[in-house]
Amino acid sequence: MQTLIESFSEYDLNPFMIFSSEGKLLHYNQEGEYLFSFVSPKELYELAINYAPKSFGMRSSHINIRYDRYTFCALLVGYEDDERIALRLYKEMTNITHSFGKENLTLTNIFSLLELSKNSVLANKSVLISELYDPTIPQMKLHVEKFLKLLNKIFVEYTDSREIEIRVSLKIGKNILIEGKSYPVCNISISDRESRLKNGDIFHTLAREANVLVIVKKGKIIVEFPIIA
Amino acid sequence: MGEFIAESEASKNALNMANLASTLPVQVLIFGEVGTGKKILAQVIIPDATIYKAQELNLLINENKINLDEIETIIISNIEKINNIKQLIEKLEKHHIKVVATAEEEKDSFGEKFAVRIDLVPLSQRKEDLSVLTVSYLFEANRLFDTNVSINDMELDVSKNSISLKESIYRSVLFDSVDKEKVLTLLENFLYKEIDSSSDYKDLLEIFEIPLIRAARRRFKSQLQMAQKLNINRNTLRKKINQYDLGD
Repeated sequence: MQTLIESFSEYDLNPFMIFSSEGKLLHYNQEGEYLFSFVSPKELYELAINYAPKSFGMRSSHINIRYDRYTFCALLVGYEDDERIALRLYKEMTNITHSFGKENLTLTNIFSLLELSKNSVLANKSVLISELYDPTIPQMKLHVEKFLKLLNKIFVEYTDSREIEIRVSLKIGKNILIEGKSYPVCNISISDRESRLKNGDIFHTLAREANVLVIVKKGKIIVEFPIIA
Repeated sequence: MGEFIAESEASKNALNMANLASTLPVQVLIFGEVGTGKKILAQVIIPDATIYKAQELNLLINENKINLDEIETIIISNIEKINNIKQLIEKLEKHHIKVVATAEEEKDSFGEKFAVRIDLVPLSQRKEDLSVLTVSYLFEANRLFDTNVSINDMELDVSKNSISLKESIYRSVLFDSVDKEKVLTLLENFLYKEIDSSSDYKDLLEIFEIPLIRAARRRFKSQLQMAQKLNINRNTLRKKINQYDLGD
């Protein structure tokens, strides 16, 4: 019985972890381990403390918290003694699977789209732009109109920047699975060290429509999408 | 319509964007002051498109006087002048029509409806384009009026970009081509329209005297010299300058 519970916890699609009273990690499942690549255990421990029940027991709360590409809609925090505290985060279901619309895709050059978008938004701004492009990235099929509007919205975030860097590269070791077929991933990263982006969530509707993933970090916005030739 | 002049960095960039946008299924907005070349650039993107004023197009659609199923591309000028930009573009998108719109004034909805925006800066900030356009207009005007006016002889007006530039060049060349006989005929025709029963000889005298005083001032350095050359009393000259409010 105990083994079955442990296995369920281990393979759960939601991250689960137990901390000591000093915030030291005592136990975590596979999803928890994966989550640590985006957020530190210290930050998660503080989250658990903030949402912990006032006294011994369990407390669930509905939240909206985002770590890198994952959004969590709820959490459960519990402790039965002063030694250990457990945290389970619940992923927002829409981020687990994502329907990919193949309609209205146009074979296009990603560098042309970047050129158009960059000039549409930043042409009359005094933003110094440095570009680092991987020229081996092939033409790919994209929903051009939606993709451009998303890029425009991203560049608007940098209109007050002094200097930004645009990088376009292949994401090594990562593939996106669509209808059973695996596609390499293209990665566009736009960054400004001085900037502190706060409007990350505004991109997600457009990103969904354009079939891309948007990750917002401090001063940096990353766009990932499959290279469908 | 003419060719889009792209000698300056800003217009080269705009032309490059237009060429890129011409290959993509996107709606484009070209923004800039009057006379900056918006419609010419729009025709780079969709060369065979008909140009409609936004209000005119709205009317044609509302009265079912245009068959949208037969149109593939369309250029809409002054799109800022209508209030239903979103609805109009969505309607055209439903018919799979590629739109290039031009605007002279900003509207909040532009970013939402147009994936590509090309900004055309005023001609005064595009020195290289201004120079090419000036030479081109001057060549046309000199050929038309059979004159040989040089750039140094004229004052260029770029307040309305290429429109006022062309007007100022043609006016300068036209004026230069006028001889005494034409001036007399012109004046005669003008006076014929002006003269009526209440006309006073002294009132009409300003038609001759104002240009005469202005020309003399351009030609001679001082009022003293003007009076000497025109063979007129200095006090009389000063009186006339004050009378016509031509003082410095």
